[in-house]
Amino acid sequence: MIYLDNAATTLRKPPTVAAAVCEALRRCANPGRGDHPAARAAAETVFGARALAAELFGAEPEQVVFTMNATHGLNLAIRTLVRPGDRVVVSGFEHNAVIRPLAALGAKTVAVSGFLFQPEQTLAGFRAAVTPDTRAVVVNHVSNVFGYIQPLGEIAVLCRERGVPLIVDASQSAGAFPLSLRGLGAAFIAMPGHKGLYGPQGTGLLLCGRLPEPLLYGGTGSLSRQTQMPDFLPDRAEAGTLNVPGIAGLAAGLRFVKQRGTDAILRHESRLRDRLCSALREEGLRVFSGEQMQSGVVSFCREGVDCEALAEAYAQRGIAIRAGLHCAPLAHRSAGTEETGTVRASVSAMNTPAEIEAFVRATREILKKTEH
Amino acid sequence: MSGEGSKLKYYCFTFRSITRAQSASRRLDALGIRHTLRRTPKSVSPNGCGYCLRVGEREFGPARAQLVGYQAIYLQTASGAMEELSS
Repeated sequence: MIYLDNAATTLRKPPTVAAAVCEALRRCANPGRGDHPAARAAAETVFGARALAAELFGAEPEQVVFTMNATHGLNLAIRTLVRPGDRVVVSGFEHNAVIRPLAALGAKTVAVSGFLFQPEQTLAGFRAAVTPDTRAVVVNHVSNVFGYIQPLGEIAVLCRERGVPLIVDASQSAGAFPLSLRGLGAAFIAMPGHKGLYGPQGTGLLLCGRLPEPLLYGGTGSLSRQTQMPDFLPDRAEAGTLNVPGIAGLAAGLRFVKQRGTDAILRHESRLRDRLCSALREEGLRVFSGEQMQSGVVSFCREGVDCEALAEAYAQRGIAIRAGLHCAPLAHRSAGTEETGTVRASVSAMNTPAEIEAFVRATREILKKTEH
Repeated sequence: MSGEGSKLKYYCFTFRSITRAQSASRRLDALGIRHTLRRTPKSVSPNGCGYCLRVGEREFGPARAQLVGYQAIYLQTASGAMEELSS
């Protein structure tokens, strides 16, 4: 199989990831819950991952909270900052992981819609929308549908100037772009462990620039006689036993990213993206392309052909891609594709130029068939 | 983390969470200050379930100069009794 659905999850991981998961299953008990060797092994595994994430993302180890995924982290962040009726400004490319928690809270969500691959207009939209009564700003660093790299640094400066807390959804950028909690001065940065960090599913990170409100209440291995959750990080947001095998695998993924370097990963993915975009355009497809403003995520469509049928045709040829709305109807509204959806191909550090050429050949075959 | 060996007296820097204790432990490791990370004795952990860094007499001064974020310092005597030191 040629796997080009990395924006959903990276299926091919460095071999060290599975090895670390298995090793943790064998060796690790419950971290922070005892002083025996298996509990210590777990605690050292978890802290090692925390410290590595802190180093990669400009934070202190205590500011790194382990979550189940980015959605979990975003819910923690949003529920900490937003109350019913609060005005929240979001980009026009947010995932339902942001839109649904805001709707559930009854927030007044103001979207800076449109402006696909237009960073200056995006920034101008935020300048106009972020008013003194704005409770929080939420920005998807990189769109999961179009790969649009939003002007996060500039938006962070704007938020700091106006004293508005910033929540960053780094689901598509973590591992391929430099990211720093300290540098951005963000309130929270949420990211999955299972995409560009190459960890197992069921893992994620929330970097905390401020103390979060708990989503779950329970044991933390600290202040056990208190009925309230601890008022310090990371314990406040980590009730219950952690996913130690998952965290061990995530640490292996983080080590892979650190060793290869985000610059090298981005360069590799950008080369593959360029080839994808030009080949798809040559075949007459509508390609959503933003060159330097685009990550390794490429959306495309063919007029008159259902995007799901197109994705199915690829699947029949052993190519994994994803079609539809990608859990981000707002992003499709911004690009004018809400009614049709798109087909999305997304690359990772594990993809090769040969795989992209095989994808291009399959595209030609599929299009030939649809013409008849 | 490294063992502080067998000595008559120990000093314990207590922390509210294992993560803070581990951060402090790394700091001491980086400076080559011998210590062990342990569960805080129940007698000085009224809220339950803390962690501490235990150092010997010789390491106490350097450790105290480097550590931040601890809750309290205790002197553990040879009999096992814990006496809080004023900070």
